[in-house]
Amino acid sequence: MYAPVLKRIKYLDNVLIERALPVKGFTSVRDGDTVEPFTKLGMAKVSFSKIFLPERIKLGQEFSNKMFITAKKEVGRVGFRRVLAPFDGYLTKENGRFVFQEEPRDYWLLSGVWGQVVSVVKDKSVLVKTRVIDVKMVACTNQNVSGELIVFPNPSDTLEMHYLEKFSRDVHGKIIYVGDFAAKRLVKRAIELGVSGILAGGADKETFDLAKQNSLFLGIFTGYGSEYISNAIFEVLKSVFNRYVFLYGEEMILRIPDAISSTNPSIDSVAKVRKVVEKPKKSVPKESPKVFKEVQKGEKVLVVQYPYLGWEGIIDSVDERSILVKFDNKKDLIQVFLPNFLLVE
Amino acid sequence: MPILSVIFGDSGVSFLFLDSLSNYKAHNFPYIYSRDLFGGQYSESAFYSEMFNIVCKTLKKDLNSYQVLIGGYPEPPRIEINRVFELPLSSFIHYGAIYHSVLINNTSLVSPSRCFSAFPVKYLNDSLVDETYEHVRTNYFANMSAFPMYKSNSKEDPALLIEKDNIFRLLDVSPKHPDMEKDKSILFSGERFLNIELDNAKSVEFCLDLIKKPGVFQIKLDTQNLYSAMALAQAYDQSYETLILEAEFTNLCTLINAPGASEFLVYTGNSENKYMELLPDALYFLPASEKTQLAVKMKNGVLGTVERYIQGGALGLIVDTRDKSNEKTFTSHYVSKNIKEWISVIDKNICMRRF
Repeated sequence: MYAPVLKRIKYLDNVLIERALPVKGFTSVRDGDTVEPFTKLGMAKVSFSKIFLPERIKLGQEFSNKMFITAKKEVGRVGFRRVLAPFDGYLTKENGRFVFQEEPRDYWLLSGVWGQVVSVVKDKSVLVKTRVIDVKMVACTNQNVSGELIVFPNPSDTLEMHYLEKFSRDVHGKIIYVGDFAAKRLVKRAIELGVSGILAGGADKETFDLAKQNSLFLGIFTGYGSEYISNAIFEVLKSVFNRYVFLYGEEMILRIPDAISSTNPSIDSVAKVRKVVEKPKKSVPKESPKVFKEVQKGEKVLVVQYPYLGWEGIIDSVDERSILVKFDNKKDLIQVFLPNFLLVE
Repeated sequence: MPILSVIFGDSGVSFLFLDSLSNYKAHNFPYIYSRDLFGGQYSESAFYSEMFNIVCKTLKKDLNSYQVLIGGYPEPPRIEINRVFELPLSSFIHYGAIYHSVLINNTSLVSPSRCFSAFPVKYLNDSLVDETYEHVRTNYFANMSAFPMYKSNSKEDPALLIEKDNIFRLLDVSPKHPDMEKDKSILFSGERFLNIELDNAKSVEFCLDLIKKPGVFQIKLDTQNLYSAMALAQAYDQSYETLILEAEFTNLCTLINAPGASEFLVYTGNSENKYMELLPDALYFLPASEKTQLAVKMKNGVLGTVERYIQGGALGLIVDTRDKSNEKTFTSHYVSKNIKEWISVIDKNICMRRF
């Protein structure tokens, strides 16, 4: 009996990550430079907000080509209502409509990864060669986001809201691993707080749709409805707490930059996890990855059968049409029928 | 040159090695490529290329000595495998001259008269009773698209298997003109029926529900999922026609769809006659082995008077007096209300047959 091999955690060398400025600015690194996550790669002046003013607005003063208005000063009136500037910015006209645009601010582009600059598109983007850990998700929303990763300590359902509200200060723009299960109310609150991504073992399809509608990245590692995450994945996440990470919706991967030099204190923990996850490497010639393997006793499997969907266990015995699987948290062996499992590497 | 006919399904791949017209070997590999699962790891071509090698190794065949034909629904996958012929499944499903074949996979149904493809997550917003169950059901279908190899079996929550069958249950796969095709058996094939046991009441009920037109139908099951690979070989070379003609598919039963009340008379070989008055909206079973021929006479409001010689099967003769062809009454709500009772009737009859 053969089954496909699924590699959920991959350590990759020589991965290219592009870091780009949102608008043209200037780049401050050169080919061959060594960078760390907080190395500044470049800067641009970016206007973060733009408001289209109502068509019926009557300006407080005569409009000239580009007018600077400070925050809380009157822009004009709509009927009897005063329209105040929400921030310092410029009043301009686009296609006959008045637009109020925030004054451009400095936007520093940080590397976010350890590595070496291999190419620079002058004043636009930088290509960095780095080492990463890719963790495969089972499902996720489609966008690409990046940000600091906060990892909840695999909390119970009652505590996770508490963590979100009290312990994780300023979660705006961050990516949060919320535990085994992303409940709907938690995702709702995350949307309100401006979180950019939620990761969990599982989530209901309904919660997934809610995240999609609100452009929140939601990624799950186990399956829909599941309340479980494999130890190996949780160990990796735990070890990269506060790391800047990348989520690629199209490829369904969480990409974690891995430290190249040993100057960073978190490297040791990653190295430890790596030892747990990977078997010791022997010096054998590189082979193309195995697609299928013979199903044998002792192999690690990902179960795709209710009610253990998404669980990982060890094969105890192999029958003609089924296998018996031992889970860490269950005394009894569970019968899983072919083809409701995949081998995990 | 020998032929290897390969059909790519929704959750598995079926291989048929044809060394000659009478000498063939079949193998069903229960996994398919999923870009979401294996995307970053290996390509679709690498996945299938290794699958071909494993199957050849298992059956001790040399791939290079076969001409490869591939088929699939809606199209065969675009993979780098040397082949001499490829065709979409819908183009050759009707090739078996003596069968009205119905192919049911995880999320698709192909018959000579219709093709139906259901990406499971579309079935999310139907009105249902219990909110918790709605979550379970919704997540179940979403997981089916996340893990396409997943196959329901009767050991897990049986309600979910019924839900999965419900994707197709309200479709009608019976021949367009049953009278013109009365000599054809209805053959159920595909991943849904692969390796099923004949005492599986849910599968039997599923077959009965899919045939909605009033009439008399002989039902056969392809439990090895051979039909489509054989039909593909025939599409490539007509001389392989005999494969399907001579294949021994399981004879499940003869089904008489007679909506409403009926009078029913059976003449058996022992000159014992049996008369029954059949009530509407019920299922009746009459034991009759595959080798038995029965003469039946029936009076029914829709069918009129029918006199036929019919053959038995593993489940004998089944008379179904439910009005399945009436779309106004045979609705999803009506089905979900009664399905457990219908399945238990079939279960009881299967159990009684054992003693």
